[in-house]
Amino acid sequence: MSLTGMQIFKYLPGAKKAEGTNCKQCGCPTCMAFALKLAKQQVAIEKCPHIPSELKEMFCEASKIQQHEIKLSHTLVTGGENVMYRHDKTFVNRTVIAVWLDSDDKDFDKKLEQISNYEIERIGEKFKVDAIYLTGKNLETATKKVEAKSIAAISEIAPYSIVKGKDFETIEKSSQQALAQNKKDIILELEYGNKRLQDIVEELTLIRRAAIIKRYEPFTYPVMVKIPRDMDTLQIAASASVLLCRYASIIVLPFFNEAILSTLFTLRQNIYTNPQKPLQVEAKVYEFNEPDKNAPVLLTTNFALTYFAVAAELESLPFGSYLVVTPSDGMSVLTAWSADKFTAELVARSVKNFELAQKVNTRKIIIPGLLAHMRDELQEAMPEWEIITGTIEACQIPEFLKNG
Amino acid sequence: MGKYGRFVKNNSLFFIKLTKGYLIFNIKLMDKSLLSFDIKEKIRETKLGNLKIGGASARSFMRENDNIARPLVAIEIPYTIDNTYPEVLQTVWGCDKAEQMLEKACKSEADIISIKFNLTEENIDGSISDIAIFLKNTVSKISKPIILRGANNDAVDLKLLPFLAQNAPKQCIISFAQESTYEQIVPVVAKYNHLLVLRSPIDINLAKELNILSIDKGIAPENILIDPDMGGLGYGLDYGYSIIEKIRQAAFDGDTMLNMPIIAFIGEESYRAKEAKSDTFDTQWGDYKERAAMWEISGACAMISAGADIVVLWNPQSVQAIKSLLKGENK
Repeated sequence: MSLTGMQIFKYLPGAKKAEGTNCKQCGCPTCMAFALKLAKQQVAIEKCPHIPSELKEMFCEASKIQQHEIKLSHTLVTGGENVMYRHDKTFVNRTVIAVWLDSDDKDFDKKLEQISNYEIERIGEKFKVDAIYLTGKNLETATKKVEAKSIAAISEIAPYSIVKGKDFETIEKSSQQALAQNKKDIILELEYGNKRLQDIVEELTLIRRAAIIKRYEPFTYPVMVKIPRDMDTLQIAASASVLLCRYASIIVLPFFNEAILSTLFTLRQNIYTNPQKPLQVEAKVYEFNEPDKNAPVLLTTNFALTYFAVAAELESLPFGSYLVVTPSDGMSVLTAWSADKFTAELVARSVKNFELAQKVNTRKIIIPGLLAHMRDELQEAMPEWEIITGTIEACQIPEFLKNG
Repeated sequence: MGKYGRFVKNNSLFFIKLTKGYLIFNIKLMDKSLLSFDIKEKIRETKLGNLKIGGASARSFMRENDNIARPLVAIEIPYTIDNTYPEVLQTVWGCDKAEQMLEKACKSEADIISIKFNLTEENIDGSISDIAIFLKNTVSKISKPIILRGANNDAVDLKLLPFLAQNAPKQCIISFAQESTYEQIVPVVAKYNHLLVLRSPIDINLAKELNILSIDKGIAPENILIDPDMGGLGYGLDYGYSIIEKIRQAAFDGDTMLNMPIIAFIGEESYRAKEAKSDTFDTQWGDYKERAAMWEISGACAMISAGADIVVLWNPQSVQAIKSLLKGENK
C-alpha cells in the first residue's frame, strides 16, 4: 500500500518547523502541498532537497508494485491485487474464468459458438466466459475468431509472456530470466501436473505473499492455473472454487460446462464484492408487469440481494405489483433494522417522499416477514396505511399474494 | 531473445549465451521462510470419541509449523422428510425415507452424521416420546460421531435440546445455542459433557461475547464450536467467509476466546437457494442435478478455504467430492 500525504508530511521540515520549512525549492508553495502531490506520484521525490533517507527508502518500498495489472484484451485486465484477505480492503480484478479450446479441434467453430453464446444474469450483472485458452497449431486463425466474439484469447502468441513452472522455485527462476530479458508483461503459470490441490494452493499462497507482502518482483504478476482434464465435473467445481478463493488470477477450465460456470460466477460475485460497499440498488418505487392503481404494494430494503430475490418473484407473477425500496445503505432487512437503517420514521418518510399515495389506490403495504415485530410501530408512524406482515422468504411471496 | 542468444542453465548461475560472448548473472533465490505468517497459537483441539476436531496450527491447505489443517465433513439428514426438503436430494439419495437416508449416510465417507430434528411448536410435545425411542433404537447404533440439531426455533429448541442432551446415547455435538437460548441450554449440555455449537450472527465480537457468556454458564472452552451463521453461495456467503477468516486470524494471534473450531452448516444454507433446488432455470445455468451438487460444493470449498473445521453437507455427492479433494485423490 502506498504512503498517504500525512505519512509523508511527518518527515518533511514543515512538520517539524525545521530549517527549510516551505522553502519552495520543490516548486510547491508548502511542504504539505509537496507531500500531497508526492502521495499521488505527481512530483518526483528528488525535487525536495531535505528528504531524509528514511523516508526515501520507505517511499521507494511503498512505490513498488505488488501485483502488475496485465491486459488480456481491450476490456479485460487481470492481476492488480494489493491485499491478502478481502476484509483487509477488497479484491480488485475478478478472477478470469477461461475455457480451454484446441485450435486444431475439428469442431472448433461450433464449440466457440457455444462458449460465446453463454450468458447468465445474476443480481443485475451479466456474466460471460472471459477468455479462451488456445493450444494447437492454428493459433493465429483461432485467436482472430475468438477476438471477433469479444472474448480474450490466451495463448503462446499473445502479446504478453507466459512464464511457466511446476512450483515456487522454478517459477521464480523463469520469471527472473524473463525480467532479465526486459520482458514487461508477464503471466505466471503454475503447472498443475500430478500435484494435489493442497500443494497447488500452498504454492499459490506463497507466490501471493511474496508479491503482496514482500513486493518481490519475480512474483508480482498474475498467476494462471489450468485444471487437468481427467477430473469429473464435481471435482472441477470443487478445485476451481478453492483456487478462486486462494489466489489464482486466471482459472482455465478443461472444457465448457454450464453448471460449473454458473456456480463459479456466483462464487466470484460473492468473493469480489467490496466488503466496505455492499451491492445496493437505488431507493425508489419499482413497478413490475405494468401494475394498475390497485396492484399490491410490497416494501423492503435496498440491499441488492434482497431486491433481486423479491424482484424475481414479482416478475414471475401473472399480475402487476409495486415494490417500495427504502434507503438502507445496502443492508439486508435484519441488518438494516439492527443498525437503525430501517426505522418506522425512515420508512414513513420514504413512502411520503416517493409519493406512493398518489401512485396507488390501495392503502395496504406488505412488509418483510422478518420484521413482523415492527408492524405496530410502523402502523403508528403511518396511520393512513394498513401494514401487513408478509413472508420470511422471497420464494413464498407468489403464494402469499395469490392467497390475497 | 532467440536472435541474440539463448539461456544456459547451471544451478543457480544463469548465462545468457550471446552471439558474441556471455552475459552472466547470478540469480539469488528468495528465502521462503520469509513468507511464513505469524501463527502464535494453534486452534483449540477438541475430541469427540476418537475424532480430533481443530488443533491445527496451519491455514487450510497450507503446511505451516510442520502441521496441516484437517477439515472434517459431516452429512446431515432430517428427522423426517417434510415438504421443505429438496426433491433433488431424494433423487440423489435414491430414497424418500429419512431412515433409509440415515442408513446410507452411515455407510458414506462422511466423518460425522448430523440429524436435524425439524420439528415445529405444534408437534414438538407430541414427538418427544418418539424421539426417545429413536435415540434408543437408532441413534445408539450409529458408530460415527454425531451432531444432534434443533429446529432453529427458540421455543422448540428450548424443549428439544435439553432433552437430546440428557438422552443422547453417547457424547455428541448439540446444535445450537444462541444469544436468546444459551442461558437455558448451556448448563444442561455442560452437565452431560457434550460439545455445543454456539451460533452468533456474522459478527466476530458477538461470537466472542457468546463464548465468554457460555463459559460463565459452565461449559468448558474445549467443548465449544463456533457457528458464525453464514449465508450460502450467492446469498451473502461473502459475509460469513470474511468473518471466518477474521475469527481464524484472531485465534492464530492468540485470542483464547475465539480459538475454538468453526462449524459451517453450508448444506442447509445452500439448499435455501433456488439455484440449488429448482429446475426452472434457463439451460445456461447448466444441468440441474449437477448444479444442485456444485452449489453446495462451491460454498463448502469457500468455507474450508476461509478456515472452517467442519462443513455440514446435505448432498452425498458433495461429501464424496469434498472428501476426495481433502484426501488429495482428485490429484
